[in-house]
Amino acid sequence: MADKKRGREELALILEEIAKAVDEDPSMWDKEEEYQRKYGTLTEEDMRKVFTI
Amino acid sequence: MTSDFVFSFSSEKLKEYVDDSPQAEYLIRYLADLKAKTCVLEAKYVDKDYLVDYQKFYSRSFDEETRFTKRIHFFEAEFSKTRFEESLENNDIEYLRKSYLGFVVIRPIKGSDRKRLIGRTLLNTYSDKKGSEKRVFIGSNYEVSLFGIPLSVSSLPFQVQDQGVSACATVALWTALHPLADTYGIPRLSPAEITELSTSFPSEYRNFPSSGLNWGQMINCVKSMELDVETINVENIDDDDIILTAIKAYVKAELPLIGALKLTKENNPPEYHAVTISGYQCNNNGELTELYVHDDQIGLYSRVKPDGSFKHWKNEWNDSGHEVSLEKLLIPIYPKIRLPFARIYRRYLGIKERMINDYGDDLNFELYLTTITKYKEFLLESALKEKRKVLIKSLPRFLWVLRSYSDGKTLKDIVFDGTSIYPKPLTSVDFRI
Repeated sequence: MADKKRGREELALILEEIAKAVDEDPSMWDKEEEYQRKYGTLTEEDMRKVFTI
Repeated sequence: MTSDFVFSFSSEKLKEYVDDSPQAEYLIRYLADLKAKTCVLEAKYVDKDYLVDYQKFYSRSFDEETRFTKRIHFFEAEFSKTRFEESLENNDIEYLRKSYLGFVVIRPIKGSDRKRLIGRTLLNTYSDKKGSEKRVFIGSNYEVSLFGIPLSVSSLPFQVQDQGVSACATVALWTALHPLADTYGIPRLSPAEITELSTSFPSEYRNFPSSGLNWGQMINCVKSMELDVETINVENIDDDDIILTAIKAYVKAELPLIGALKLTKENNPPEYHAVTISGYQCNNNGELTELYVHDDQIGLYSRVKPDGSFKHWKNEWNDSGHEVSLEKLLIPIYPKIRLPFARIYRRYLGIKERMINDYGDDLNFELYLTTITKYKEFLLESALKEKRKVLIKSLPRFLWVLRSYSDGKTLKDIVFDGTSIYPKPLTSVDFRI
C-alpha cells in the first residue's frame, strides 16, 4: 500500500528498477504476444462486417 | 449575391438554408453553445469535396443537380450588413478575424428524408476547460478566405453521409484521414474517392450508391494511401482501461480513431455504425469523463458519456431506443509506427500495476505516442535532471512514452522506441518540481 514517506527521488529510482525488471522478465514477451493476439488481431468474420448506418 | 447575406444567428433563419434534419438541429445547438451571433452567406461556393463527388456521380444523373454549394460563416461578434460592407471597403477586419467560429457548407443534394445535406463543416471546438476538467480535441488550423478576408478555424472536419457516394464508414474515414494530409503528405480525397478506393477490395454490395463499407474495405482504403492501420479489438474486454488508454494516447498524438459501434434495438438484428473519435474530457486525475465523437448521424464533437463503462455509450442514439457498444478501434497510422498498441499496452500495465501495488495509489500513469520533435520541444520547456544530456540524446522519429505522476506532479518518463517491433526502452527522463 501507499508509503507516503517515499520521496520523489526514491520513487523515480524504484520505477527505473521496476521498468528494468519487467524488461528482463522472460515471461513478458509471451504476455505481450498474448495481448497482441487478443486485442490486435481481426478474424475473417470481423473483416466482412458491414457498416451500413 | 442574396440581399440578406449577413444576418443574425437564429434557428429559424438558419433552417431556411440547412433544413431541420437531426444533424442540422444538432449543428444549430452546437453553434448556440459557441455563442454564434452573426452569419455571412456565400450563396455560390465551389466546394472541392462536393465538386469531385459531383464529377464522379451527380454529373451522370438524369436530375439536374448544380455544381455549386452554399457556405455560411459564423461569428461571435454582432454586426450588421452595413458594418460588414464598410469593413470590406476599409479593410477593417480584425473584429471578424477575432470572432470567427468557422463555416458550414450546404450541398444542393437532398437526402432520403428530403432534407438538405450538410457538407464540409469546420467549426471551432468547445473551450478546452470546463470547470476543473480538461478537454483535449483533435483539430488542425485551417485557413479560410471569405471575400478576401483571411480567417482561420481550429477543427476536425465533419459532414453527413450522402448516400449516392458515401455511408457512415466513408465519412468516418474522410474525417479521420483529413488531418493526416499535412502530417504525412497524403492526398485529401472526397467521399466518392474514398468509397472508390475502399471498394477496390471487392464485396457483395454495390459500390455506388454506397450501402456501406466493411472493415476490410476500410483497411484497404487506408493502406492504399501508403499508411498502415492499428486495430484494437475491444469486443470482449473485462474493463474499459484499454479503450481509455488508447483514446488518450492517439488523441494526444492528434491521430483520430475510427470506432466500430454495434447498435442494438429490441426485436431487431444488430446494425453496425462507424464514427470518428475526436476528443475527450478528463478530470484532475486524468480519468476520462466524456468522449467527443464525429458521428455523421449526429454531428461534430458530439458528447458521449459512459454507460457503466466506455464500452457502452450514452448519447443521442439512446433517444431512438438503441443501445451502443464499442467493438473495435481502427487508427490510420504512419507505417514507421511499428510497435503495436497491444504490446506496449501490456508493458505499460506490467510496470504500472507493480508500482501501484507496491508503492501507492498516489501514483498515476499515462501512456502516449509522440514524435521526437514534439517530445523534445516539451522537454526543452520542462525542468529536468541532466537536461542537456537528455536533449542531446539521439532518439527515433516515433516514441511511446510511459509517464508517471506522483501527487499530481510529473515524476518520470520511460521512453520506448515506437519504430521497433517489440517494446524497447531507450531512455528515462526525471522531472524536477
